[in-house]
Amino acid sequence: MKIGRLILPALIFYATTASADVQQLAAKLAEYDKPAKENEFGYKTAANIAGASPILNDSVVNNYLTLVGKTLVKNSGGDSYRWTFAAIDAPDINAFAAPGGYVFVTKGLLKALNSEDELAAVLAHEISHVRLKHYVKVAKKQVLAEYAMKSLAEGQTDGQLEAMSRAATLILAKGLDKQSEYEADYEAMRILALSGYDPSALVDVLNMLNSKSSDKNMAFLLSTHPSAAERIQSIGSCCAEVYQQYAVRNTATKARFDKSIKSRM
Amino acid sequence: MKSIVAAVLLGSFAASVYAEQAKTNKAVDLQKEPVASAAKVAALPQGAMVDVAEKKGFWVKVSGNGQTGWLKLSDIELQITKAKTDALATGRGGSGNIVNTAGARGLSPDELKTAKPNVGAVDAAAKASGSVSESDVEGFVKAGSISARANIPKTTLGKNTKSVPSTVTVSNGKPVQSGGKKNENW
Repeated sequence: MKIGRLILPALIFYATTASADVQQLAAKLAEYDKPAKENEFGYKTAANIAGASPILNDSVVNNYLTLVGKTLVKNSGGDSYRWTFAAIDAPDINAFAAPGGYVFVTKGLLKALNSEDELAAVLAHEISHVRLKHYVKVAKKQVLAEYAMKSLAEGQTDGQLEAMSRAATLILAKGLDKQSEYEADYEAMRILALSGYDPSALVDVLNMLNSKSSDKNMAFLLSTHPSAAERIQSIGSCCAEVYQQYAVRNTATKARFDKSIKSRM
Repeated sequence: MKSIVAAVLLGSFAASVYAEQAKTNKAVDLQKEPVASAAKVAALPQGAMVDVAEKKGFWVKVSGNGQTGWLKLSDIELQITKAKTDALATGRGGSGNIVNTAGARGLSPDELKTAKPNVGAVDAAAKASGSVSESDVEGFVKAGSISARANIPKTTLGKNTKSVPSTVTVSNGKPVQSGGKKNENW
């Protein structure tokens, strides 16, 4: 009882200072919703991706990715991001987005694609992750949780930039929640439809991924995403109905896809 | 035995993703047209095997048991490419389409977590993408006969948005639909 009397005020004191620190931190983290800070930590996150696997040294491929990516951005209403699109020289079948507008597609995935519409579907999914700020939101939560504990011990509320890019990189490695992936799929189809691409190309990509589910180059993607079958189901129940009328495949882009991607893989 | 089956399957299916078989993932109605309101041709049980003949957006034309009709892509799981991929992965593809890129390493979650940042590579990529100008994009859009569309509704999680834009244009640039009616193409 006596001990209780001593500890309780101490605990209240700690909890109060910690919560003040956490509030201060939450205010600092809110800065990451703004373009400048988002780009700053996204840039560091992108550097981690580029550090894990080299960017493909092929300006034809990277230029083509950028043209398709910027077409999607422009035709879907534009935004304030300075987009970077590039291929990653890895046999894995995967794609990554970092906050601030960095989109990377692996050579393994490019190799498995069949058309500009399919490439557009992959890029639109990644653009959606950025625009919907999926990584920003989860990284902020993680950093806040991490610092809430840290501030109890050390009273420290600085160094968020490092912590935010570390958190975003961890999320890239571990995966977002399923709902965020479904949401990125839905938004991707809207971007495709707006942009003049075929939204059903996303389902084609998912069917391709499903067909390769036993491929070892799919292990990373499978560990971070709902299965392709689940994603097709979710598209079917959400909005395939809305997008069916836009499912028109453009054959005028075939030659340039073959020249810029197919023949270079 | 598995490899023999895979090899036989490989020989008998074309490269096209859709010229293959599919299995229904639930009990579904085979429909006469790729439209939600179309007449029912037959009821298929879950797990029914069908041959896929054609794709039209989110629908596929299939046949099985002597009957032909349309199913939604989300009601089936395509089957044969699995065998094709397995065969390729075990080197029995015979197409020269080797799965691994020589020289390049795989990318694992652990590598990503422990990566040493490469800022220079990002700077170079950002510079290259930054050099693609607005007019480059305009030229690219034009050369590809790509036409932007307007007023496509946002689909939010858990909601089945059925409204359609007031004007829809397809890639030939002609408006094909106007008005805010429910889309009947699903």
